[in-house]
Amino acid sequence: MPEPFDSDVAERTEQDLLGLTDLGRADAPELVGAQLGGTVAAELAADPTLRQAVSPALSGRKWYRGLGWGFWVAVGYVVAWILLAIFANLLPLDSPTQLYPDCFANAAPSSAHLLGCDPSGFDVFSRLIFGARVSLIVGFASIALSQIVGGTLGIVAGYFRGWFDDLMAVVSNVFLSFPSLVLGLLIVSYVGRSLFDIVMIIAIVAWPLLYRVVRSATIEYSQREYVLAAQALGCKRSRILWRILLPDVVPAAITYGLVGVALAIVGEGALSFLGQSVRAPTPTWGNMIALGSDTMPTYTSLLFAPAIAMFTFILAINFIGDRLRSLLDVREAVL
Amino acid sequence: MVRRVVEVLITLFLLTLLTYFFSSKMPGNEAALTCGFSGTKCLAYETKVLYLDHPFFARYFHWLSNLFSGTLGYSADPTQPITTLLARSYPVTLELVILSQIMAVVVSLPLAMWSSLRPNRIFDRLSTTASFAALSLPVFILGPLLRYVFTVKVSAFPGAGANLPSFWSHPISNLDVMFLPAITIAIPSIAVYQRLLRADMIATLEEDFIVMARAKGLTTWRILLRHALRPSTFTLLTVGGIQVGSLIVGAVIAENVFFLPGLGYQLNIAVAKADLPTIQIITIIVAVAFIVINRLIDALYAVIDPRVRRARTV
Amino acid sequence: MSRKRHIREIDDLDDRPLLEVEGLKTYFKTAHGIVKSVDGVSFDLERGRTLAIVGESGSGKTVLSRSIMGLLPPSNVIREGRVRFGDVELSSAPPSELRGLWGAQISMVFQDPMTSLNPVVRIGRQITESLRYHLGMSRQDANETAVTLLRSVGIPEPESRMRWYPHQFSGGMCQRIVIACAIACGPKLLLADEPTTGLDVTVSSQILDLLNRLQQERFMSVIIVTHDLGVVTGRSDEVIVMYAGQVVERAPTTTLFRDMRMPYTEALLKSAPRLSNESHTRLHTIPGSPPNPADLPPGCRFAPRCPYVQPKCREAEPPLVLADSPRHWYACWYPVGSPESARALQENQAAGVPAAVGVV
Repeated sequence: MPEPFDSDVAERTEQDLLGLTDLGRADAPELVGAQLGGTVAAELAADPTLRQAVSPALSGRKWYRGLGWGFWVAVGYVVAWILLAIFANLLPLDSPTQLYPDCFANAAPSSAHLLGCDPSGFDVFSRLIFGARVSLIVGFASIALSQIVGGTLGIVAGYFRGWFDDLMAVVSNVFLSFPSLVLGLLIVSYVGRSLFDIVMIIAIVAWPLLYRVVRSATIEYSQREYVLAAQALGCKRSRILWRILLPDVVPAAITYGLVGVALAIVGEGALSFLGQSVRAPTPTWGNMIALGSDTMPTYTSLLFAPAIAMFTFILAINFIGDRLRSLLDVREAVL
Repeated sequence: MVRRVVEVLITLFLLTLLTYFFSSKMPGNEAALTCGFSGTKCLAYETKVLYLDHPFFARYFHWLSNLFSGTLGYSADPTQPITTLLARSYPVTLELVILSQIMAVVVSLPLAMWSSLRPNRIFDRLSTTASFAALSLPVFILGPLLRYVFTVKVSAFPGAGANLPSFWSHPISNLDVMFLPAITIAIPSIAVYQRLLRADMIATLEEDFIVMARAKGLTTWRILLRHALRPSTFTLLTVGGIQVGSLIVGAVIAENVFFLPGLGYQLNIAVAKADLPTIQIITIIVAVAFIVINRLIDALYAVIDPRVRRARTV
Repeated sequence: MSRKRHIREIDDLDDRPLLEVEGLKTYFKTAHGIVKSVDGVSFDLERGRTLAIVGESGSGKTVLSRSIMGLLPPSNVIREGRVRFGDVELSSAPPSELRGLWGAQISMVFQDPMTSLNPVVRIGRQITESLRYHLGMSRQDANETAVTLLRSVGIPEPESRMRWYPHQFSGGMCQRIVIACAIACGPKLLLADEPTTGLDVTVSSQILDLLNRLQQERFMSVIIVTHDLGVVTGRSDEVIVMYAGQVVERAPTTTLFRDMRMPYTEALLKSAPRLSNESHTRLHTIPGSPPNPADLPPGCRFAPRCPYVQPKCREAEPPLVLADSPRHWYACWYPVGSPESARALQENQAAGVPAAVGVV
């Protein structure tokens, strides 16, 4: 005898079947960032539905399946650049800050200078590799810093609410009311232009967004029953914060943090494109693009090499973030 | 209502405070800028006038009151009062932003509509992938690339916009210069709008009233345009509001890539020259515009969505 | 504004029934296999008559109404059989011809009135839309007609309410508006798919009365799809009972209630609570659930739940046969009221068959 069919399910299937377009599931709006203060920043600022945060039960699964080969290609690409940036010193490259006289004779790509030279006489190829350092360091370090500061503030504000939350709301709103690049330009003269300063600047611009993300996630998680249970058991509040809420919030923070890294790299790129990032002769992708743009038909590799490098790197990071997010957004059946 | 106004006022206050604070450590001060090397007498006089020997908050309030009274001071170029500078620059930025958004809406709407009709088919996949790529392409990369292709390789557009004729007097040549920068900013907007609109329309097309419209015998395009599009424009409006921030950033960069004499261009020059007053003013104007536009969009949303507008009656 | 009319005129064929359905099958191709939602349905309907299609959730009645109209997804559907409406073969008509019929000659009213109307379009527009598209009316004529329509479905102050939005109306009012949209162009056939399911009882009854009145005024044929037998009595001329995608009984309404033959019909009637019952009367239910349309058992599909089931029922599908009274068909090997079925029931009760136990 065949299995009886649940009639509610049967009815629902009928309704599904009668849907008049061949629909895949509609995608949630992708929070992929473009520029500092761009889509992601704005969407994060608008408090997106962070309801699909990860359940603590996720760690048990084989989460690394289902990410697709593209994901791993992207990861490999990102890691490759990171390694290149770290070990640039050890590679057989020309010095990025030394002028080469043979450049003035021939600036085009040659066996001596793989990507040619720039107008001042620097080797483009080595500047490309060393330029990655600034972008990557600023990108990762500033977001890490933002996470620590903004994240801490976010958890505290999200859990305790009250006057602190209101105060932080005003403060973060004020920061968010400056378009990001404008804020960056404003404070660059206040803070300074060393590498560390630039990291700080990007961190200052980015912290409200990470603050918002962590705060939203914390608010949601603190409504969960296991938190209420811990409170009822008389757990110390610091314990609840750090032992219970923090691990819940970390996956969402990491995912949005990755998006933030992309934004930070773009932000630093914008700043250095405008000439306001680390000072010459330190190469950055941004200032190389700017110079290539100014000297357009003559020095093409100067424009295209860092442009392509930055574009592909950001694309890879966004792709990774996107995949991670669709992974974490999977609804848990048991929650 | 009152609470909102208070919030905005507090935000504005803090905003101006922050701006003043962050620009207070710049090398050189306002007096030196005005006087240049004209000597100590001038310096002493200006210092007094500008309250520069007073503590921070006194200076700040003096500066703020100047703002309100319209005395904006001079930029690093003593012949240029900031007000003139602003008056000349903001129309450029405004036109750039408006033009780019018009382009973005005009392009993204049909893209999204077609995608929503045939989701997950070739066209949809292509446009979704293209959007994803476009979102990873910052303006300062896209701009120079477009400039390279369209002004150097192919002489389609003028390369620099320093001599930008006014739109009202010479529309064609104005658009000729503005076209590339507008497209540069428009492309990320297109990507965002296309993705969101597509998702929204796909969701809308699943609604019952669409089935009902089909059962009334209306053609697909009619249904799309008359029934499916309207609820989806609300999303567009919301996203548009959110987009303003990235638009402003894009405009700043694009003006510098294409040498358009707008607010962003002036801001960059001012930063390079450590031109305090100009930096302060432009920053505040841009930030205030940002806030105002966002609030306007909030209000507009409440007005045009009939569900929000009216209270339930019958 | 162009005065083009997009409407497919139907010749009045006095001798034949307005609607003829023959062997209609609608299967869906899904990941779980082929779902046989409608598996061989045949009936006909004269002008001006009301037909009720009754069945529980999942019986295929909704898919049937959509299939008659042709309102199905474009892919993954297998269709067989014929549907003739007037002089048009609905089952094989091209989309453009169908669009000329939908809303103009055949209309549909859906289950949930609150979601059937576009929330951001004024209701007047939603009505005049069909009028202007199908009948080519001018804006002024269409508006006047819409006002008249609203009045005839019982919306007070229609002139001013034309500019209202759907959320400003209650559920019952919305359903009236939907009905107004449906009858705007004077269709010959109205399909009402569970029109009162989302509404409370008093409102339901008003809506059904409204449908009745409109039907008589306009000489319109109506097909009501429902799971509620209360809707059927007194408001329909003929009833079709569906189970698992097939017609299991078909009769004029009074005959059905008086002289049902199929055990499923009997069980349905029994399970309807009556006012005349005493309080605390245990409600009669049909044990089990309908079969999985992707995986149907051989033989009679109601067999697993039938009190009169016998071995023959599980082997062979009973055909639809004519009963003594005119226009009464049923499909059962052991029809209710026959001596064979009484014996079958006794056997089953003795054997402890769950469906039979507790049957009086």
